[in-house]
Amino acid sequence: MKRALWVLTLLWLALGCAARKSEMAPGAPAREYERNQYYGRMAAESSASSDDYRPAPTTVATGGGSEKKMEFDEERVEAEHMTPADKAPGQHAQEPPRDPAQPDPPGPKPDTPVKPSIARMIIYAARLVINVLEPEKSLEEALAVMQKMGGFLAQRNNLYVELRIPSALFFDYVREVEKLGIVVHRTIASEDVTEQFADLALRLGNLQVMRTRLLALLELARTVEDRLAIERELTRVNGEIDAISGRMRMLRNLVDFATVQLQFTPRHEGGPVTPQKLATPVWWVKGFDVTQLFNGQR
Amino acid sequence: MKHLIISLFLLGFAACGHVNFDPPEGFIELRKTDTVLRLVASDASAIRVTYRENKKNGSTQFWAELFRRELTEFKGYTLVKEEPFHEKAGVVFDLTAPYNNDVFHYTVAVLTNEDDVYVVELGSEKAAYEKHRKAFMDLVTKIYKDEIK
Repeated sequence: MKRALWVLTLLWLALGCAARKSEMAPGAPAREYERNQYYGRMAAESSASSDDYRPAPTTVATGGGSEKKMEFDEERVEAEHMTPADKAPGQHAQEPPRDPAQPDPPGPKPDTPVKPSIARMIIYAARLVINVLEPEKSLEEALAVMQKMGGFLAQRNNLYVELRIPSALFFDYVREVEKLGIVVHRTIASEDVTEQFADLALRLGNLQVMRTRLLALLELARTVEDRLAIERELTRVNGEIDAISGRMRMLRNLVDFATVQLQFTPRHEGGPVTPQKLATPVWWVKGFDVTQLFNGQR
Repeated sequence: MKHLIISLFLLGFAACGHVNFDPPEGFIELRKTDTVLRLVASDASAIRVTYRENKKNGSTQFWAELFRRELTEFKGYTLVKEEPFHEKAGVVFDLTAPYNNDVFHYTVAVLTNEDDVYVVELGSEKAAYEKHRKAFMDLVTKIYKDEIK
């Protein structure tokens, strides 16, 4: 009898475990789905092209991805220091705008993306003198393209304008305005300020640490002389922090928005004023012009 | 005697200019230097005579080509007609020129010999051009006879 009772108890326990297992079964696919989703995101991040590549937001990497999250956090901190905020869509700060007119640089093709190890901060600037038939109209067209690309007007003086264009669209904009007429002068310059910015970031970090220490010392200071000395030092450090922060803001702004100077000069119909032609070698021949004739010059 | 010598000297000095031409009918002399004579009409048409010393090998063909290139390819004027003047003595360019949103006639004559280059220009509104072209050509002919020939 006792043995029968033991057998029944064992049977009941065995059946209970089986029933519990079957109850838990519907939850398993859900967890599997979440896991797959997570791995999918990880895979997408790791295989994304450099265009799409951006530091993963911390909200993406959760749970078991803590190691990955840390890696991304480090990268993000670096990126925050190195890249300007609010880059134009579709263009990551680590990638300088590529001149479409230039041939593809040798190296890895787009299907084998390479993540740059450090974000480059490059300031772009261009100066164009364009010969056009209707300068006012062309200038308005240039301003319209600027607005379309999200730029803004910095300065205007008759037929001269200075514009700020999102760096990502810098070469696109230059190419667009070059279509307005004959380019008689073109200067395009770039300046890599990555090192300068990194130095400033380092100095800023050191100064902030120093400020924290000074504040702690200020708490401990007992005499008035000590307090005054520490406060003087604090004022100096704060001043330096402000100056460096300002300089970094300015650099970020210059990197975010390229400067484009445009000068439109009028051209007469049928008169190409061809910049490709060599100038007339006899200086006084250049003075023959109906405008000068009527104005009584020369 | 002293005054006479000074007067003769001044007269001789004045005559040394290269552009001593009487203004053609309808024009007055507005400004004159040793090398440039500027004449204007009451309708704002203008004639200008410019003298330059010619250089070795400076043929009419050379100057004509240089002026054609400068006026058409660089200044953007439309060449309406180009004709030689007294065979190899010069060339006359008839051009139209945009000016203040209108089209003006601009005629340039280049006359050369071994020593001299004379450039005579006429700028005029369309309506007055034909009237002044004759006066212009008379002046060109006079320069040719007095200085080039």
